[in-house]
Amino acid sequence: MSKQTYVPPTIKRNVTGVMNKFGRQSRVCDRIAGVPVDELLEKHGSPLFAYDEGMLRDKYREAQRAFSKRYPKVQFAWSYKTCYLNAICQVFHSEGSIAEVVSDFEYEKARALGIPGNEVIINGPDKPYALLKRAVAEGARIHIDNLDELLTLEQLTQDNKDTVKVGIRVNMDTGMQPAWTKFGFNLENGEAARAIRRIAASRRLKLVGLHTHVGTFILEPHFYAVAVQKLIALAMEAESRGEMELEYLDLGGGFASRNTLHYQYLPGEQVVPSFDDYAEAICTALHTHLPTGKQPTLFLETGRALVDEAGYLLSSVIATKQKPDGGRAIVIDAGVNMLYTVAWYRLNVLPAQDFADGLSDTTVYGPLCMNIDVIREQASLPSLHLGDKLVLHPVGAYNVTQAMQFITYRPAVVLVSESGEVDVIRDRENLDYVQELEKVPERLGNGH
Amino acid sequence: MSTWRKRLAFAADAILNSYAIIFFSRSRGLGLALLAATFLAPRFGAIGLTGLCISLAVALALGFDREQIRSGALLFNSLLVSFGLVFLYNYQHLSLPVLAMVLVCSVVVTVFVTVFTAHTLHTLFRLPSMSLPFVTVTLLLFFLFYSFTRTPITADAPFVLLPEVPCRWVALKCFLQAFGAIFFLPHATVGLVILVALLCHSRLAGLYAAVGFAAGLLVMQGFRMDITPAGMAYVGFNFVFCAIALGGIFFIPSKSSLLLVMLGAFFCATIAIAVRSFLLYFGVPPLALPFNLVVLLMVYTMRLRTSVTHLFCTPFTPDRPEVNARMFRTDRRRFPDALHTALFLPFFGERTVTQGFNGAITHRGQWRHGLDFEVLDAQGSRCDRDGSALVDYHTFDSPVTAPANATVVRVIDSIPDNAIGSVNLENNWGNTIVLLLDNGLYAKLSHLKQGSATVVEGERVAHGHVLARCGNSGRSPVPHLHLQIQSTPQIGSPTLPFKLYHYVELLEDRKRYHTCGVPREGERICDLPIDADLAAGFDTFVTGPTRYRVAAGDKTYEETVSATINEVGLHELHTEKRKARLTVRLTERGFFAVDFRGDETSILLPIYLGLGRFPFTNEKNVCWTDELDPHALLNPGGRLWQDLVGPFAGMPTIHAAVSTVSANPPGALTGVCTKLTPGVPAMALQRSIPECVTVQLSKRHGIARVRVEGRTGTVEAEVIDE
Repeated sequence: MSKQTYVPPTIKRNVTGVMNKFGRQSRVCDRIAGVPVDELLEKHGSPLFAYDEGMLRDKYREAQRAFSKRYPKVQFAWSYKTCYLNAICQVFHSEGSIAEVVSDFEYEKARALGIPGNEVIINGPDKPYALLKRAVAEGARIHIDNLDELLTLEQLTQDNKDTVKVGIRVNMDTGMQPAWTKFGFNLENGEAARAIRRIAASRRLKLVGLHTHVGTFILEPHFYAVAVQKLIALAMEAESRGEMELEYLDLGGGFASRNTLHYQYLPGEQVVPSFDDYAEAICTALHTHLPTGKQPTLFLETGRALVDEAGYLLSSVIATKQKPDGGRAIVIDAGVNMLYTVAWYRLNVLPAQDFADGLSDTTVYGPLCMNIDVIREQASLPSLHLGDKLVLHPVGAYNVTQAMQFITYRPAVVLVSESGEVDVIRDRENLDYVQELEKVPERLGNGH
Repeated sequence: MSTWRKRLAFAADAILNSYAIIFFSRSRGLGLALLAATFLAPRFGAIGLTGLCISLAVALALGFDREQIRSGALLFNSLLVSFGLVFLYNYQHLSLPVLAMVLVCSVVVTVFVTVFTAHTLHTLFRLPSMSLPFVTVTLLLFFLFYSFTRTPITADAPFVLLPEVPCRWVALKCFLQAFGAIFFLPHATVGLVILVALLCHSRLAGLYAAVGFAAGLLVMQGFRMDITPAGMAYVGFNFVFCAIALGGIFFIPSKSSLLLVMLGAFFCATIAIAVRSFLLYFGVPPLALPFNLVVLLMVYTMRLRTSVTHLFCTPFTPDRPEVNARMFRTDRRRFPDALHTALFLPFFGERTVTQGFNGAITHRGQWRHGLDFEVLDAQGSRCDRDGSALVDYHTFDSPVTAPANATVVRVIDSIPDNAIGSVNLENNWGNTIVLLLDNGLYAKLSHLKQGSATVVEGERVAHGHVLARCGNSGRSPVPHLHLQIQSTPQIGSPTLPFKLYHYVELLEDRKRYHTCGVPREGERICDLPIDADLAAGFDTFVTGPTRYRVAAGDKTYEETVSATINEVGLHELHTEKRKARLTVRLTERGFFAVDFRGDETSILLPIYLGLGRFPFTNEKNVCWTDELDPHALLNPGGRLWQDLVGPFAGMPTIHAAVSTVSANPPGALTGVCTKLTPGVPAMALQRSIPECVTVQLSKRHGIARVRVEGRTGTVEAEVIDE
């Protein structure tokens, strides 16, 4: 008879199914899209990012449905920076999304994936000359961020045969604090109107779109309604002066995922608006403020809300500790180097196996030899042991793209299909890959 | 052109059209042939032409509508009256000045009678005046001449340059003489010349004339009338005209129009016999009276039918009978629903039709033409969570839009929404908006959300305007939208059949485009968004001349396409060098090629074949099918077959399976790939039908590149960028 695992004695209050005010219900996450966590880790090593393809598609369709049943022309543009793994991009492109990129690297990536230039939106302040030139030639949608960029574009398109359609990014006060003023032209101080005038006067540029990005993780859909109202007012004013012909409005991203911010009292599931809530606010504002007969295309660059919940990080306990105050702590093999979003989220940390005992507050440390590597200061977990598996969720947005190679290798990423097929979409790094671009000057010798 | 040459050309047009229009044609060739035929009896020819010229001068001088004059519609009655006068002159020789006076008087009177009859018949009954003015004036003339002598009118045989062709069969001789008798020349040779001219112009008209005449002859025989060439001459042409008018001009040629022609012949014969019985006392023939009465009666009454499944009235300005048949039948196969009331989708985004026409639940009996729409998700479920609350339903609270430009006539907005599963049978339509459509019918949208209406009664709304939200009021256990058309604004009125415009049916891997249709139950449908850039591209394509470089085998040449808009608002694309014309209906939603004529080596032909219809979409994997007219590709034998057999046995068509493909090169707009299957045997073709035509579209030029692949090689045309 094998030795049984030691379980410390606890007393647990009997709760019948309802959520208590501490949110301490135990949840187990032992499968990703039907595939056992153990099986995934055994095959692909720990830690491991796993994406649920079915959920990606469901989320996209839910969002698409929410908007398209309320407004006739809606086009989602996949925000590459949120997660630009080729396989993930392809999932969204196959659902009908175009691409939204913010750098030459992302533009090249989208084009390499076969997305035609006119199905790429280029945002952000960093658009090098060569990128602008290529974008103009390939008909991409350029959203001008600043006056310098506008001047460069004017110069670049001077000898063009056709007019080049462009959009501008506008920032404004929607009531959201803090207002994002880093990007685009400000509405209230007249900068946006000046930019519009400048474009109207230029030889080859033609303004057809307005873009704004209210902010990120917006929990109040009303901010979007304000943005819609202000953009339409700006556009109609400009149209009445013959300075633009509104073909589209781009409301950027910012829809929240069902994650929980550090300062939030209630969990994300309860406070985050649904796609229907956002769509209702935005589309009602569009119908209310647009003049009769005018229906510009609505672009949405939703990233986080589409991908966050479909991403899981599977990890293993590599040590258990008792803190000096008596509290429990564990060290897992996934650190902040691959979980950029722990900076603002209280991620769910879920055991991947059944447990018998009660829950107690546990600090979850990452494996890095750095004091800042804390995943959760306090998570309600059962007692865990070396080798036990944990699932961190939702981690689909921004983590893979912002994960850095630090101290150890970055993990593999798998995609689990609706039918349970598991495909590696990014291999675990190895020494050769990490050192591939390194060069040692000859005078330093080869290390011997 | 100098003014004089312009005037001369106008006069020539008017004169030749006046002859041709007698056979419902605008062919100047036919007009010239008829003019020549009348000169076989020089006196007839000369006086007829003189009378026509006098009426032309008078009509112009009085300032009647120049187009009507040019088309001959205002003059041909005067021409026929002049012939009648020559006939009477042969009966009683008047002195020349008197003849001249009578001629001038009668043609001038005819102009007035024509204008009056044409205007009154058109405004009161939307009918043409046909040759009623001729009948009226000529009858007066006959009685005028009768009053001179008070003896029955008998005329000497007219002097004709050629001898009468010998003919052993009485029926054939009667047939030929009937053609001559149109111009009061019951002479087999003259008739033969006219018949040959008619056959050169339209074989189908000749066929109908023969059938009508034979039927008329049989009826006359049945009434035991004497069939002699002399007795039949002035009755026979009534059968001929009646047959051509009913069979090929006012109705679309078909098997049933053949039966109509026979019925017409029966009526003509009986009227002729009856009329003749009292006119014979004076020696006056019934002239064209029987034919006029029968055709006007038939055309007017047949229009009043409520369900038309055969014997279609010609919905456009009639051309030759074979062209009418070809245009109408091709159009009907391509756009089977074009004659029905159609609406745009009354919602945004995708819906599933959960109950169609003749549905099992409520779309029954008088209310069978209704459509129910719901939002279903990818799994086919209509709700989230457990579906116990209204807000769980995807359909609930989604906007309802105006399906056409209309006026709001009823708004009912205060009926509470039912809880899921229960129905309100007292107010079974629930909250409802009724719209008065511009065609006079009413569209009704029901089961709306309480208090959601954003329009008021009397308000004018544009297509796409948000009217209210989907709810669950009335006889509605789950949220859905009901749409129907009715003839009164009352809620609860019986429904009328209707169609939906411009939508796509969502299939597993592609979308099937419907220009107009009725979705079946279970079909997922959504609007097909229009790409403004593509639409703009077609605007530039049809406004300015566009030059193409064509590479066919080792030959390279240039072709310029330019466009004009014709009087009925269709675009006509021409190419200068290769005489070809493509007629196109260009709407804000798409490009619909109507007809191609001319040189089949022109690039307009592949545009017709490859872009027969094109909704301005930039989406990939949108597919549709089309049936195109192979006429331009047929050899003379094939054309004869199409003309004579097509109307009765079904028109041959080219089947086109079209799908939109990725743009090439990337950055360009959509490509359209058309696979063609000839529905015509190879022996009927003078050029093989290409297998595949790919058209590449661009914002700058509309049609940027056309590639034709076939058994005989590849032809590629590319726009020359200027």
